[in-house]
Amino acid sequence: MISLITFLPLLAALGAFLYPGKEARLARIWALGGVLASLAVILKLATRYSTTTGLQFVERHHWIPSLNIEYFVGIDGLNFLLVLLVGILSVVVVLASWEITERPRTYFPLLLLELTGLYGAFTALNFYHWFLFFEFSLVPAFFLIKLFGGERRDEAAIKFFLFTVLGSVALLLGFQLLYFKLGTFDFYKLAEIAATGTLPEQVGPLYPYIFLAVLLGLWVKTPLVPLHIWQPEAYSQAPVPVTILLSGLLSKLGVYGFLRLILPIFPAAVKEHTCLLLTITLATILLGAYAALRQNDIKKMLTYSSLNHVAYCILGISVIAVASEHAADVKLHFQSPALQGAILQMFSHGLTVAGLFYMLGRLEKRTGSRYLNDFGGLRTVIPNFTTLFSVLTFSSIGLPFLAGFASEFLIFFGAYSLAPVIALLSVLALLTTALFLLTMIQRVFTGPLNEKWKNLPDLSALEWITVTPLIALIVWVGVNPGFWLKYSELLSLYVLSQY
Amino acid sequence: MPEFSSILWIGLIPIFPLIAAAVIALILFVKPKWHRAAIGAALLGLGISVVISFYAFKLSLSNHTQQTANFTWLQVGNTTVDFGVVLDPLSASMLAMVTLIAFLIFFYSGNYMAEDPNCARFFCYLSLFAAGMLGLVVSNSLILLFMCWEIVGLASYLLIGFWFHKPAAAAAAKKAFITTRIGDLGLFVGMLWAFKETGTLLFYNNGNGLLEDAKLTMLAHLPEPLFGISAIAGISTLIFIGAVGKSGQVPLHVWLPDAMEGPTPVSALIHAATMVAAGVFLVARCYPLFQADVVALNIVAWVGGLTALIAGLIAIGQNDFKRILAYSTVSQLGLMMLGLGLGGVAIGMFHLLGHAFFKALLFLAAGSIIHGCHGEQDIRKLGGVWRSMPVTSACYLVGALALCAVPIPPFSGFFSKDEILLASYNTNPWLFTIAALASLCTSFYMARQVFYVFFGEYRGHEHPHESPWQITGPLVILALFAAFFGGTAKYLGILEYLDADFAAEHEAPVAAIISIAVAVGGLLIGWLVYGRRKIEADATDTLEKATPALFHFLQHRAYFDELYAATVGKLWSWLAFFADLFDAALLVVSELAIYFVRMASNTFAFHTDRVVIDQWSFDGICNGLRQSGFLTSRAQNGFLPAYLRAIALGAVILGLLFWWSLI
Repeated sequence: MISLITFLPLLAALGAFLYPGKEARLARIWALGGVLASLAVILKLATRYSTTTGLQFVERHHWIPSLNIEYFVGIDGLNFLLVLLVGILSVVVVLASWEITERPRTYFPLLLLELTGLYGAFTALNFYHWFLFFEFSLVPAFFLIKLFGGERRDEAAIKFFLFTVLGSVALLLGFQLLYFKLGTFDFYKLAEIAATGTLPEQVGPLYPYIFLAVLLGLWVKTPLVPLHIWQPEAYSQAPVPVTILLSGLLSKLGVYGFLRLILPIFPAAVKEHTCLLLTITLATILLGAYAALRQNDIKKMLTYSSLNHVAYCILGISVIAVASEHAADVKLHFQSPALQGAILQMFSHGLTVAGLFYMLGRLEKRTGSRYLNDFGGLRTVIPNFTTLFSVLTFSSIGLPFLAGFASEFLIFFGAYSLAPVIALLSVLALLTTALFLLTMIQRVFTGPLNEKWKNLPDLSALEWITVTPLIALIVWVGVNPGFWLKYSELLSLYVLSQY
Repeated sequence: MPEFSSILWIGLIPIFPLIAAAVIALILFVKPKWHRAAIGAALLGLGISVVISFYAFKLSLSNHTQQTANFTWLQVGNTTVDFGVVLDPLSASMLAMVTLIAFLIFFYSGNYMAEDPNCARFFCYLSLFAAGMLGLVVSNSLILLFMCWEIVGLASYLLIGFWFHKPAAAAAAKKAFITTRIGDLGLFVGMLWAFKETGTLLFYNNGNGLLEDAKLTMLAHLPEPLFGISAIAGISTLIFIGAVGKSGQVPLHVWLPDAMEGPTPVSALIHAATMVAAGVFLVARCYPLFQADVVALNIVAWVGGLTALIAGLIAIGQNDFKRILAYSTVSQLGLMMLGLGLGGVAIGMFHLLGHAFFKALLFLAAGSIIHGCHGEQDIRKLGGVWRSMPVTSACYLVGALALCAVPIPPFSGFFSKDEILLASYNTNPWLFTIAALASLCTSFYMARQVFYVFFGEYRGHEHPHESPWQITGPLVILALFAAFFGGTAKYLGILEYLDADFAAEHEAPVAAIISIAVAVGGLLIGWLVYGRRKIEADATDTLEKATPALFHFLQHRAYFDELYAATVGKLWSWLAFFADLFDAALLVVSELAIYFVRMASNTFAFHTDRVVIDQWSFDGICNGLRQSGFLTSRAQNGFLPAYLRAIALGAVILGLLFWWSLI
């Protein structure tokens, strides 16, 4: 079933490439069919998902037996919500690309290949397999930016590519060393070895370097300061659907790496380097929030805001390793909310940021601009658009009963209990986020109407169809986060057993 | 109605306005011009809540004990976060007050906003606000309270910015949200702290709630975290910071006067009667926490006292009809905080309830006057309104006298303010002085406003007209409450109802005399300064003539906004600048790195191309072939003796090899 999820988009990519129809009109139908088929399979799996068993829907085949490499996929609490998120956002991405006229025969297959890469990376449980898809997801993204991006797309694409490749190389080297010592690429087996506490001895003096190499790979991918520098340009130069992919899903691949590759496999090193992790996380949180305050380009502002919000996930992840004098069961009271909050934050941020970038893209499509000082008073002409945009904005600000609040409350609770100073400093970012997002609303939608835009059309049917499900989900997560949290319950306890 | 075993049904009170808001939102998307449908939905939703609230109030009157119903919101690991509702005198009295005033204001707005093209949107926001406010009141969980607290903040933001095309309104809305959010984050951290230490956010939970003895004792025995402040004082102070933001206490009061950019019914409902009082309610709700350490209560009392005085003074220098009332609200909220800090829940809440009626009345009457005078809000351009708008003016005067706490005949404000002054007289002479001065200011600025607006000649352009009954009706009802609520409620024992442990303050004649003296004295001074002579159009303010420097200081709101812009505002822009600079520097570094990578790869590519491929591989092999060809071709030149020589040589070598192999 999981392989079906991964390879349906690939099939659709082939279809879109080989039978694009007249003037490539069929390409988008192929794409929509592919993503909907995958989503249908995911939903089918979701109904059968059991919150009381760990790993499920496993598919395991020999691949390269001599190297102990297997085709090994499965879904557990760490990746369930992410696979679901890919399923949901892939539909948004295709709908966001609906009106693309430029070379659809290249565009849609690339988009679908990217999704195959993401599905593969989120479901793989063997490093070799995982890395293959992790790297593979980079290639279509590179070409999508390079071929369909904005004015500075060449620079943006090459920077994106070079930085992520640098990270990937480090990651690969790290895991190869681990393989030489332990003879397995299997995430679960590695975690089992780590759980016995003997992994550092088995690996020997290279252990801290392996950890740092893996960390470096995810540091670039997530990204965290100062290796985030590829991000503003890549996000702002990419076409809107690709920005949604990058911010909503590719950044999650980095965070997911922390959950899958770092927490279970390197507990000793994480505990040792908590200080480093927390420092760069805090720096990212604050830099994202404050840098966003100065942007005139709304897309860049949202990019920095996304940098800041994704860093909250890493905050939740890294505080669980903070040493504290509490008894283990008391400590678990603080760690579970932090870790599960981080997992939920990935989901809620994905929904919110996809909606925001989508709406911004539609605004740019209408007006040809995305600069704060070009707008003003748009609420008068596009009231419904404004309402939906504002709901997404307030979800990003962290308004209760919308998705952002539930996860941020849990993360901040854990962080405050385990690392109060870091949490208190991060609270400043919560204020600053409200400041720049409300400034954006003020300058785009309120005030006197800029006469240039007096004939803008309000929401089209396509826009309604795209955004309403996102908002419904955002409200659902906000009102009843318990429903979504129970999926990650078991695995978070499993991961936390080592902290 | 049947008796319910669980009190969970009071959770329905906020649900109905929420449904109304959702329905109106749908109407807005489909038929934004259906104003009557929107108004009807809003009134219906709130109307049901009024009925349930008064039923709950009746239950609470007959049975003062607390009833709660709790349920789990979410569970992570072994940590549970619970929601709950509570019915006790505190929530019951707030429910009755909020739904009653909200209903009157909804009704008033149905007429007041009828002309506005976005009337339906207005009622959507109002209903959302009512849902949030009622949720906040019935909540038995700090986190549910916080969530509703944010929702009312959102509604306030939306309603202040309702006339969004006015830049001032848009800016005021943002300012309100950001300023209150500063306070909210204090409350947020306080909540995290309390949750960390106690593991629960429920207020009451059969002995295991945050406000019950077991947890309070546990909190009181925690080690002091920093600077000798106990954990419990820290938590209560952080909660109080939330109240400071919402209730417009100094230093976070700056948003409330600007919030007057919203429509007047909004000012009456949200920024006078209910939402701004939520901070006072929050302190009253968490009172057991504050009580546990006197430091926290002292902070509450001092912040309240200073706010009362500072806002009272600033109100004297304002010329905008609604802003005077806004500063008056800030000042009165300060008095409530003072009452809470020194006297207890009953005294603070009593003033809150009384104030809600007369301040809502004042704002609604002000709205009626502004409507009647064609949108004029500058009191210097009004005047003589008494003659053309008698009903509104009479109601306004009742409200003003209630606010000034005039004793004869005893108006509503007299009873509650007297309690506050008495409590402070008995405990803290400094705060008593401050409170008395604040009351003096109250009477003075109200006298100034009343003489400007109602007496003398009309100084505006078009002639004012009285409002229709839909507007004056709510005014009259509120005026009745403003006149009689305080005395009746006190006679019926509201103080004992609100606080079971309430002990009447030791009566002090001096305090009573001073209390009456400041109320009447302020009015007298006001009359002396503004009432004796007719105020001419375009004349300088009498006070401004006397002390221009002081008057300008007050007129500019004691320069709080300028101070904040120069400190926090500047700090934030510098931080943003540095963040941007850091990023720019990184960008340069990354560009350079990429440039070098490109150069290196270019050089490498160039050299591999030219040297390895061209020179060595390609040319080298070609040359090699040519040379070898040259060598071999030289051998095959058809010169027979050379061939023979080679054959002979080969035979000799073969012979030698053969011989060597035999040995």
